[in-house]
Amino acid sequence: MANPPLLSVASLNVAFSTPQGQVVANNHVSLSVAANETLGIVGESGSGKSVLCRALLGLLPSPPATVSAEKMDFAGHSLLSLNAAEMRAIRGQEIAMIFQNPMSSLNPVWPIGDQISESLRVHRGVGRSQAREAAIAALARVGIPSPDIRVDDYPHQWSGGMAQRAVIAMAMIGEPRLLLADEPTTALDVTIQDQILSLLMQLQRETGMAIILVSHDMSVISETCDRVAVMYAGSIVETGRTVDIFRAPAHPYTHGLLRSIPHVTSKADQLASIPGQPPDLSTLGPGCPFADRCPVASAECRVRPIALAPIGPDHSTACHFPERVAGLGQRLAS
Amino acid sequence: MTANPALFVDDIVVEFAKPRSLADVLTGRKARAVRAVDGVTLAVEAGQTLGLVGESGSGKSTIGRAILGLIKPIKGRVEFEGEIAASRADIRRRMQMVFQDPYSSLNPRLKIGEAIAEVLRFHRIVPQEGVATEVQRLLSVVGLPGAMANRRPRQLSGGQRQRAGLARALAVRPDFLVLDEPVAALDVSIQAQILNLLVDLRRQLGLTMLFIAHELGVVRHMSDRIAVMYLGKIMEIGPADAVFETPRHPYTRALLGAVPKMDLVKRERPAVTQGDIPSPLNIPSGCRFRTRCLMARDICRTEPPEVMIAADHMSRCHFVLDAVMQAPSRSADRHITEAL
Repeated sequence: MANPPLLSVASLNVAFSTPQGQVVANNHVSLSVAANETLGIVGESGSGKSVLCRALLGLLPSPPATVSAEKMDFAGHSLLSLNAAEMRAIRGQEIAMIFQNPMSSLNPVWPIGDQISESLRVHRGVGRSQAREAAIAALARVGIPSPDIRVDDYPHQWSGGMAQRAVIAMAMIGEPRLLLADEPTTALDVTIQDQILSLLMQLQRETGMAIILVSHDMSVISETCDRVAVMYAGSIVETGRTVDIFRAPAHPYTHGLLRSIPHVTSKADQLASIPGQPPDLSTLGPGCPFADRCPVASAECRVRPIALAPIGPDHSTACHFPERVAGLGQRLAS
Repeated sequence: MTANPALFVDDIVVEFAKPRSLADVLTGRKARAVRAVDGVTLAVEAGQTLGLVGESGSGKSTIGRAILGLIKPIKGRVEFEGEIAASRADIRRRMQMVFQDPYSSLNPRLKIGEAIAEVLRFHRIVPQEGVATEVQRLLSVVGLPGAMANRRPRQLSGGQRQRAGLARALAVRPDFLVLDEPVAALDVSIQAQILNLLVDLRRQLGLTMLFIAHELGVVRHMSDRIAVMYLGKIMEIGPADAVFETPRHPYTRALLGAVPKMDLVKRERPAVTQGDIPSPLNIPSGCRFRTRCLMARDICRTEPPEVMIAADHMSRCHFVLDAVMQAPSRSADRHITEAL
């Protein structure tokens, strides 16, 4: 990595107490992201991606959540030592977040412009007319046509794509150094997704902010992220540079994910699916959580604990047999 | 196109009345209608799958529903094996639908086995004493363990529920399935399982399919032919390979260009389209894609012609014969697929 990390997390654990017992939603998650860099977090429903984002922002209610980490450093200070008021000052300013459904992030009975500039008025004591000017500028920046007129619109007057732009404008107005984007294009049509991805990358080039982009879609990750962390059952099972992860996946789950995507360019007779379904997080055994669905697992995989281990420069996998994954392509193809 | 397609949809138009708002009543404005499907003609040959792609509001689900008689078109007709489907209950039974989320189409109080048995009894598919056996057979056809018959929908995972929905649709032994976004709600590893199952079932049972989806890779995987819809009209229809490899309508090209390319290069390019999909209440005159089209000229304010590029490939664009429309290069995508 060229730059020192802006955010550095080591061994983050998140557990929820439920009537069925403790459910570990994040298990020893470690990651880092630097300025100008996009880290992709990919995984399926229930893999713990969204919980991770909320834990980073201190948004998980406790109880039922229990959050602990060895380290959670942001721009030189530890997020773990902050009290609620200090965390609030960072959240929405230094670290901003956008969610999947933009309409649920907007208040339906309040003009969009006021919502965008609210944080300036609250955190920085900016006056009303100045805040309005800032909101217009923020809307122009995210590509809303005639922002001086649309600033007074209400959310229901806007399409989903425009609403996502408004939410991005709201996130950007505090000039964040880190943007957490949780499935920001999942609810959008493909041409609008294309517009939003281009916008996010453009804003990153302009401001140098770091982005953590959470997605279930490998192809979205491939165009936007410098590095990737693949999550499964609450753990990061593989992490590395995007190019390495896509060209030479070293975890059978990553390999399976990449192989199960139908492409627009070619038609295969049979998609390589991953058999079975993700495990129930409340009944995880001691071994590898992917063992039951894994094409290369041995008996010991079910009992021997597994942790991320480096296999190359900036490339780690949580698999006892990464060398078997390399041989998987040919075997699946034949 | 052969002379006798299994399904023939002839110039159907579907409108939904938009309720008058208070302002409309006060100003005496008449009720307006949203034209969701605006003159669609298509045919599907027996044993083939037609993929229907388009973005939200393009009318693709409405076509599926109109074909099954769940919505009555104000104009046009739907024929199945040469018969008008709307007038024949026995024909409509041979046409079934699979929905995006079976959680909303399966009765939450009925066990899966009961939900399937209900269909078998109502249509007298098998004698009463054979119902339990037939339920077990259907479950095994869709790859569910027999014990699932005693589960309720909420006790199943998303992929299992989609299999159960499929078993229920297959219970009446249909020849034709409308699949409306059948994998959109599923995780990618489960999605591949269901797509593979559909391909197997199509082969084993000789099913004809209309496969509706917004995701282009999924549609390509499933379809022999593809129709691309925009705001209620088919913009391009043709063989899947031709439509995807040499798209002949700017909208098809924009859709394909917008799909992330897996080329492992961090994006610096601008988006391929600008602006939003227009409201179906306010459809642009002439070519309805012209407000977002990079090739649009004055002539596009008039209705574009249906241009036949080949006997089985149509595009609705004034410039289709002038410009050579090539899909963006995807060599890197191929490279990755092969490397795996």
